[in-house]
Amino acid sequence: MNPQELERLLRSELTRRESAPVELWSGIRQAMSRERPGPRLWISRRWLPWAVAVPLLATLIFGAVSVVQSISRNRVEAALQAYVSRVPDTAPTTITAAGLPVTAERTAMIAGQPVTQLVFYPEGNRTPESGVSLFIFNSRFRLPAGRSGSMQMVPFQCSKQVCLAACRRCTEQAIKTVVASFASAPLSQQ
Amino acid sequence: MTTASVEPSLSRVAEGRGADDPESAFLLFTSYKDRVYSFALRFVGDKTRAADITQDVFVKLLTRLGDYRGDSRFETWLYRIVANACIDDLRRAKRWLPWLATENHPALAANGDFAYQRIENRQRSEAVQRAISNLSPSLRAPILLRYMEDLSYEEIGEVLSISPGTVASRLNRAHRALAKQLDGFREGF
Repeated sequence: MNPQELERLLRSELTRRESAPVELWSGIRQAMSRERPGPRLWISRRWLPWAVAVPLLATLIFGAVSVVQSISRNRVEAALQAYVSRVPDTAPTTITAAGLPVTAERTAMIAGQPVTQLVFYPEGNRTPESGVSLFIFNSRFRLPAGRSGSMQMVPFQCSKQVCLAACRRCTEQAIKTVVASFASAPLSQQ
Repeated sequence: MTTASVEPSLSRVAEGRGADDPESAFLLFTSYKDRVYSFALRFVGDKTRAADITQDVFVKLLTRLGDYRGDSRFETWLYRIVANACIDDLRRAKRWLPWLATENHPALAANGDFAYQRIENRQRSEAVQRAISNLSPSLRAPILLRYMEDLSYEEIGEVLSISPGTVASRLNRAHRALAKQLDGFREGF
């Protein structure tokens, strides 16, 4: 079939219109009563996603910046304090830097704050009276007046930027600091 | 119905009173219903689905008439809605009703004066419909817009959001496919 014949055939066949069923109108009316048009938008549908996305993105960015600024502004001073209590007289001779066994570790609550407590015992003497407690807590924490007693403060810096309580690294550093302190100056003399 | 008689109802419906002004909405429906239905019927080849498409198109048309900004002909905007509705329907049918064969509806057969002529006309109509149904939707839409609605390449391109060059290319491919399938039929067969 050549193009002219095809065109004539298509025109003769396709130009004839079919009548739509009139009862369609009642269906359209019913559907329209269910599907009332909503209020006219102030923006065309084409730009609607942008109108939603841009403020949302701006809010997210603003929120993220605010959070980062807030964290950096309220950065915790990570200087920790280590208190050594109940220093027995025998401590300078029995507790040495080389062999300082930590025999107990727990988190104590002092004035509602979590405080890491390490207990050391001199070699060969594990009586409660001979134990030395090392309390490690944040620099912002203040011991209640009655608890300071014979405690000695050993301040040190935490290597973490944000350290709210004594972390594992702080604990290790505190032990090193205290052990170095023991080595250089016997506790009984402090 | 001439375009001039439709325009007043169109403007009244476009003012947002389409849903509340049954008279003008009905005038719009009666003006375009046969065009929409015929296009859908040729496109999907099934009377029930064509009726459903027509209903959907008019519901969309009357509820979203406010979106028509008049920067193109109303018919172009209408055909865009119809073509998209037909393509969506084919896609849905392909997904949900893969076993559904295209119906060769007797309504498409011409009414001849004589029995033999009626049979021949019917055979020819069915062959044309079958050939059109075998085209892919991307080729079917330009053919129907060209021969049913007599749109120019530019108008077809506007309806289908493609360039006139692409319209020409698709029409050319559709012509070759149709010529191959309708080789046994001649105009005035």
